Amino acid sequence: MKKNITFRYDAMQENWVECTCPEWQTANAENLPVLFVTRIHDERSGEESVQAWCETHRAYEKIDRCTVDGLATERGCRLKGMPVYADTSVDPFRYIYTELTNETTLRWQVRHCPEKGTVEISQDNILFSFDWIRKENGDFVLVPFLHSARHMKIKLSLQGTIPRRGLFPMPVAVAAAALAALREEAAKLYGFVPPVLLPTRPDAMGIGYLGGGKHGWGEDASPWLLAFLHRPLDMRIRFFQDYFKKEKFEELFPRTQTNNFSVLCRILGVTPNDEAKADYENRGMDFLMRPMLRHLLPKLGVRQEALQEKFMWLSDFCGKKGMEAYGQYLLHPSLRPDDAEEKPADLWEDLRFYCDWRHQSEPEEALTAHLLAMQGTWRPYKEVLLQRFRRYFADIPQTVKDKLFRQGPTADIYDEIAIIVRDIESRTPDRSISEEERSLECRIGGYNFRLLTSLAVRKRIFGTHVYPAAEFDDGTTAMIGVDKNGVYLGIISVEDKVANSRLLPYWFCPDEISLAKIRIAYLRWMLHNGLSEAYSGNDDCRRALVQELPVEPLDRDWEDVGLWEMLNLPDAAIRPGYYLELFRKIMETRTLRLDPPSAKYDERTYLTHQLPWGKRLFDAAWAGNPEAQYVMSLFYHRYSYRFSCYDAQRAADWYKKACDNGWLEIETSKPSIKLEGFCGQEFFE
Amino acid sequence: MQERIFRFDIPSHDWTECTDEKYGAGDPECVPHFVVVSEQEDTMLPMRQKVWCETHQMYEEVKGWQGDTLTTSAGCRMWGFATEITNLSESAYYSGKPATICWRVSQREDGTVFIGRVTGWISTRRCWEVQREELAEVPYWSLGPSQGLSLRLFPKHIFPQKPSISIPSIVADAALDYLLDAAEVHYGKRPRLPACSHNGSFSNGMTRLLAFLDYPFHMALWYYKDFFGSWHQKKTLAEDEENIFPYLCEGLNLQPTEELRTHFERNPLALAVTALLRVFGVKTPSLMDNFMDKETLFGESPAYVLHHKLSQNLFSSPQRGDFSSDLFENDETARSFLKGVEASYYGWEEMLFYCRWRLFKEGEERLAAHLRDMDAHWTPRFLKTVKLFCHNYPDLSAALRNDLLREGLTVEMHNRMIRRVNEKAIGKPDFSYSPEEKRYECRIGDYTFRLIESNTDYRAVLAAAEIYGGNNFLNQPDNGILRVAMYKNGRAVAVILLSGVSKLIYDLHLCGCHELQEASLRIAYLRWMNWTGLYKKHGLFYEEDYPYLTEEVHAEPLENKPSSLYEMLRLPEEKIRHGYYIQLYRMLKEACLQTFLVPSRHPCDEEDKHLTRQSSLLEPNRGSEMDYLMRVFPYGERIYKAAFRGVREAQKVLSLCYANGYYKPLLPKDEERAKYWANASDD
Repeated sequence: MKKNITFRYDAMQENWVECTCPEWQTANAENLPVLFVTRIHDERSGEESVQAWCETHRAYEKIDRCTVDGLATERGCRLKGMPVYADTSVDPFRYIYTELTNETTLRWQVRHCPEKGTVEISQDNILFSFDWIRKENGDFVLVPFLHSARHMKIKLSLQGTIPRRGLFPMPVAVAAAALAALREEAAKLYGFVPPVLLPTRPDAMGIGYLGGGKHGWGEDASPWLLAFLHRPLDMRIRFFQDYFKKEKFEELFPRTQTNNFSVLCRILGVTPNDEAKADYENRGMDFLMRPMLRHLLPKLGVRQEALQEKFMWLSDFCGKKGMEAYGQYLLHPSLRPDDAEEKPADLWEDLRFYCDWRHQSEPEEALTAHLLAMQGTWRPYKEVLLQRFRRYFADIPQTVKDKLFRQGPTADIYDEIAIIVRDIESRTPDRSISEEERSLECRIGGYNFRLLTSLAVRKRIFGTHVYPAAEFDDGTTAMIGVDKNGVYLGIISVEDKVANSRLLPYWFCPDEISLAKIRIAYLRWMLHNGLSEAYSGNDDCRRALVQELPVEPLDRDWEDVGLWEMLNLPDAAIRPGYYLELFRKIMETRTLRLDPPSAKYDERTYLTHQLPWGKRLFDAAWAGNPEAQYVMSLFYHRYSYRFSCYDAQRAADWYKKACDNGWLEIETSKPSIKLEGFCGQEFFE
Repeated sequence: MQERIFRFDIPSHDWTECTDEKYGAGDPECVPHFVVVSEQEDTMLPMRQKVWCETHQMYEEVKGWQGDTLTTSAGCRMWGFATEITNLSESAYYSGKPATICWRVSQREDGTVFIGRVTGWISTRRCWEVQREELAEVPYWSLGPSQGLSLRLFPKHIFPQKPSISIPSIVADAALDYLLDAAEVHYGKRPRLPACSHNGSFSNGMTRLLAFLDYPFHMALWYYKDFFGSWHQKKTLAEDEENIFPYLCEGLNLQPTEELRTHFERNPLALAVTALLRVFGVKTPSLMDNFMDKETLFGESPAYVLHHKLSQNLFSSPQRGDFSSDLFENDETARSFLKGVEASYYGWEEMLFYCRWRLFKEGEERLAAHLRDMDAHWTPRFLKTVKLFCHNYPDLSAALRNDLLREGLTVEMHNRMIRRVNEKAIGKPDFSYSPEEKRYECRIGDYTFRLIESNTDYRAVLAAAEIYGGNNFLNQPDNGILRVAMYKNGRAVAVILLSGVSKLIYDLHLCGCHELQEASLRIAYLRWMNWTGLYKKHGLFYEEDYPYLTEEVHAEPLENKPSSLYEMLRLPEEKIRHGYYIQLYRMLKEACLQTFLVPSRHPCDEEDKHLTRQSSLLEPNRGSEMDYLMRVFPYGERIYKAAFRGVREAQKVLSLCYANGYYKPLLPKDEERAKYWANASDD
């Protein structure tokens, strides 16, 4: 007796469901017709909908309903084929390669073979690529092209070897079907039906790997299956594995042990009562929540048991990460993995400081209510906010503190504190700056070479992952940021008269012509300062210096004015260059990023609401100030993605508005570098 | 304590045992040592060996060897440990360069086998060479540190625990002899070493010793070790000999039958043979009987092939590709399937495809017979033929496939497939363009813009511009996309694709990350977009691009030269002008055409012997050069004819063909002929 289940992608529910169409169950994946389904965010109407690609109309159409052999669209098309999800968030500027091939899953199949005791999971993927095609009305549309199919399968059995490299990521529905089959096998083998646990949030895991969908990459349900293969008698214990040293875990919870619960309780010092048992059986990892909260809450100031009880239903506290870090802390050090932290994460110290501060002015009940409310809206940035609040407590103005007390850690306050922190950090250099280093600052052909004195600011501009911090943190290296019109484009280090430009053509400046211009400015700058180059580039670049490129002093008007101060400046004090400088300083701040406004909202109202600190800029832009309008275009531009919203269309619109209002005439940092004669013999050969 | 000593034998370039009593003293300092210097004055000339004679104070040429004794041209004789060095002028010799002087293997009373490596330092000093009356660099040696390795079978002992020396095979054999004796004494029976122990992973003597220590009776199990994940499992494997068989069966996905166990006990590799045959499609046990005593299959250890050469995930992880019947019947399915099979270096994946195809065509029995034949006459060339077959499967005609089924992997079939593939490569253009689109071809400044007419050209341009992007480039359909190649000084540098948003594709490391050159490329592209007016339709540009889209551009139309190899080969004789042959040569190279297999012109070549034996069609032919050229690579006919006529350009090109530059040679390398034709063209 064989039992096969085939799953198809349900475009309406955005989930994997059992497939009833007989043809789709048996046909070779190569021969199946494919329907591309994607989630489209329409900025003009503000709607988000799931749409399917209609080959006849060469357009995406809204799905009306699913039929047995395909989809029906609202436009009335009957599309035949098996739907696949394709993520269309493809940047039109990333066209370096001919065809960036994507992969997505077409079909999942679970085959149970009771005679052999095996369960086979197979996955049919298709490879496809997108191309931007211009429609008649001038808009671009992403057209999918099908390349080929790829078939993957894996055979699982309780008595066989467990795949060393793990399983491929899979959606919950597939994992659940495989688990049910394996459970039958286990019942035959062990004489009883072992308990199983499935992901607690099935809606969040509807779409597996290579599926994308409304939850991004989707969560992978294969760990659950793997847990069952490793510990078929009691799979729940497998989730606690990472808390323990590997050999200790094997020793304490061997594969053949059924009663892991009492062992776990003994180790954690938890009373093995019915409540704990129910938690262990139904909530898996969340079993740790109660002991952890009982341990933690009194330290935060919630001491009454009745108040503590209110927290007990939570499945995570201050994010999953926080809970996991704390769970390990409950164990005896000898059981923990060698790389585990000795003390709980800084998050708990910061949270404790914050709670202590609140507790001074409000009773325990109010604090409890506040902490509970915080859990619903917890985001990773709040961790940074609390950390900064504790660290810069003395520097934060009372008004901000009052606001924090009233509103809790919100995005607005995060931004305000980020601005304050930026000002403090840029005021306090890491080391003393010599006159000679100061003289490196200048402006060539529209590019500003600016000394970056604070490591923290530097890291915020260029990110930590591309920044080889350890190499430059010894204090002897001068770091120079290169910016144009308020946008940082690269970084140079100088040590002992040797300039290192490895990070100069930085990757948020991918266009070839800008890169060449920066290079020429950089060569001129080296020549001016008598520097030599660490990584010798191409000498013939220097031929470009035949053109006249004057070295001007840096405009230092706004240098000593903090961002906080600039934002609160009286209107009369505003002069040209203000908005560009504002933007540069914002870039050093890394405020929270947000999604571009949908057409449902008024752009101005939306931005003013989301970014209250930018009100003056938005007012000026709407009033027709070309500089402010140019800055608005930078806001949407792709190199501002670190702290703002990327929207190519809006960036182009604002740039056009600025140009119409005369931005090109008044542009202060007009690049005067010429790339003339490039195609002739002058520079090459 | 017995001791065996090994010296380096220069004529055979290998280590050899010293059987003479005079080496027996054991102390290497008591044995003379000399250094032979190998020199080559010119790459065209053979190596010369010389040795410094202390008696005559001069370098003397090595005349001959008699066992361990060397005779020089002056009649001097030397014996002892010899070391050969090349590149005497290398600075390393001034400070001393380590060299192994000899190997020693001995057994102690407790059964420990000791392997010692005596090293020396080769340095140079300056001596006055009497006859030539000049200073000469003379190598001498001094004793250096010794490295040792001690091994004991029972109780198992290795010191140092993680040995890092690589041991020559003969030395390892000597150590194994001692260990075998020890095993015989201890277990009462003498373990048998697998026949294939010199292949694959065992090529280093060290691994063989370790394998023997781990599995004295099933040394072949060492091949299997990688099938099992953790160290723990490996350990179980070594200690629990009883359970090895079921364990291996499980790992290799085999049914542990009694019959298989009998085979396993005779030959531990029988399991890998079974598994490999199953992968290839032979599943009936009776058909495998002929293979059961084989320790090598197709020149390799079957376990090694299974694990290292075929997909590593064959048994435990997602498997790519399914060999359905549709795959072999429907060319489109096959094409899309083969896109996913990246060309493997060795050709084993392709072998899998070939076997499954034969299985589909003629059934298991005939496949088994074919595999047996193939194994009996195995040559590595088979893998090349199989690769050729697999990657061009959809393009081969049904008749050709049927012939291959009947004839097997003969040289003739190989050549027929090459002919088919080459014909396709120089066939008619794949992409058609309208006359308006043809007018987009032009020259702006240094750059030439040319439409790409066929898949072959497309591939060639991508290769020349060093753009790599997987197999997606292969065989693009004519889907109305405008494909334009950008040349600079005759070299392809970039490709423009016009469908939707235009794409400028070039190698990111094109001129060593030279920003100015990248910019010049982009500016040229923008000017071309501007000149053709295509920017209006295919736009989406950077801010910095716009100035170049509005300026005035001067473009020159291209002269009407043949742009594809197809036209080039069919150009009327009267139109051939200066530069034709070099251009033809370049295009032939870019088209990645393959040469036919024919016997080499040098009778001493190993492959040549094999070929003459294999194919009845190809008699050992030492006919005229023209005949030879036409059989190896007929597509260059015009070049050869012109060269024989005395056209200097063609002679130069023919010399290039022979010289075998890097990347896809047209002809088998022949330096002599290359030189001859180069001289002919100079004269």
